[in-house]
Amino acid sequence: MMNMKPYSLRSAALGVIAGVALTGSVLAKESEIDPEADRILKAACSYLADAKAFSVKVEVWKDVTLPSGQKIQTSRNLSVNERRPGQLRIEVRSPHADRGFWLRDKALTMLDRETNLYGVMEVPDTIEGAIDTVEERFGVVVPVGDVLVADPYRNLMDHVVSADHFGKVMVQGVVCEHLAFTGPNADFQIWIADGSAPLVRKIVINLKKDEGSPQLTQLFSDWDLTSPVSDSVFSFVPPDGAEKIEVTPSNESEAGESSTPATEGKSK
Amino acid sequence: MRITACLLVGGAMATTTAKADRETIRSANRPATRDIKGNRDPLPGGRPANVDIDNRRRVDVEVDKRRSVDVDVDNRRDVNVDIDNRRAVNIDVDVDHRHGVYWKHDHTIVVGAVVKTVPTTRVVIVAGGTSYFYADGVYYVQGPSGFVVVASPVGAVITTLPSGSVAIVSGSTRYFYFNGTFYVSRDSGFVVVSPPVGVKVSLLPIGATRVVINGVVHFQHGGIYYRPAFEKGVTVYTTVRL
Repeated sequence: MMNMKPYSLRSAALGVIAGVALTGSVLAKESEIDPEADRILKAACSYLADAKAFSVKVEVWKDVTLPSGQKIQTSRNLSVNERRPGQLRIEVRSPHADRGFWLRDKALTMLDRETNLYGVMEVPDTIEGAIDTVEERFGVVVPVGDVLVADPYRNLMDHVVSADHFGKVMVQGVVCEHLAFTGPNADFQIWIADGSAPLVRKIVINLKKDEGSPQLTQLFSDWDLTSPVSDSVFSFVPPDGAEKIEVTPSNESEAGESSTPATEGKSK
Repeated sequence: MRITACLLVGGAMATTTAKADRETIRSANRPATRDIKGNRDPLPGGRPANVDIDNRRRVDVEVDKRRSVDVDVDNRRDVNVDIDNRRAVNIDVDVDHRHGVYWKHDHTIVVGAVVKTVPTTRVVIVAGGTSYFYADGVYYVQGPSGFVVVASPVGAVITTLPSGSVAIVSGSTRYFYFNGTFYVSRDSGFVVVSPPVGVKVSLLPIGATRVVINGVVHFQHGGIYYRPAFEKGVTVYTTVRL
């Protein structure tokens, strides 16, 4: 779906990106890929893909629409360790969640520390295979999966319709290249550190086809592509008192409550 | 995120369509239409969509065969569930999907707790010949040293559901769940009923205790057992009969 065509100015779209500094780049028509955006993304993805292992911290902000219709943002913090091709550890913490995920030896283990319960899902032996399997079989979405796969470039560009480069901006004190992409269901922006270590610093995903067009913002920090990661990081050891429970396949998990608040009243 | 399903729990699945909440570009922008077996529709023009990725997705389709265990404690098979479940919520590995449906985590509403006063919004409700004070989803009886929090009496009728109640559809019945109490709607109001078996809730009643029965962990509250499982990345609890 990638069409490498010269980009052109589309003034009508300028209002949409008001406030964004356009430094040398212009908006592209649909189905167009700005070669500079493609080059920068490819270089960043190649840099990450070359790493045998890495760790990173991610702060995730996500739009949530309450049953009342009010839209709020939730946040959680992730600590990610990955060793290719098949080992992954993610710690997730938020005011309402304290969970760990271990991927190793074709098993993805999920621990809910609040309840001290854990479950195990059998998965393929690659990280991307595991990500896809747990999502499709169990409805479990592995966060920041876009940067965890072996080929982030292809993962991101597979269904991209257009790509643009909006020049350099600062993200959390780091000079970054600002790229924006459109896709059939989601548009996304990526900020990639400028310089010899072109690592992702921020991703914003706009789920434009979903109700309310929610956005997801991921802020990356503390990238480490060189320090050795201990084997034990990827090994799940049940905490004292932890009980193993079933992980229900998503096609069997339809019964349950609605989020719709039950605020009905009766008149006597 | 929308789920619609018609599911016959005791027998074969009729139809099911379900889509996990998305958080990755990988998930969001891939061709969306796929049948229950994971077959992906081809892209326009008949070209298979990312054939190599498709092949990867078919790996390990026989993932979970463990549901056959513990059938003695899982009475969901007795229940016909016909769901039109619209969860506009997050279902993923790390997002709490209970926003807006919390109930007050106050120790005073644990069954057996004794309080000196009851909220000024209290009303008197008679059920089974006993008078109760009721306020904010909590039932009290007068005790020697105060007001004792008691289990919600079956048959009690309230006019307004407690804030934080959630709707649960099981079979042809629509329940409203709040802190371990199930209500159904009647002309007279919302009536406390015996907890149904085979329904899933995302919050346990306050004060539920953990028990292991035949090697399987459950939570118990008010004579009802809740069996936990991970479902779409979050912990849910199914009411079971033991």
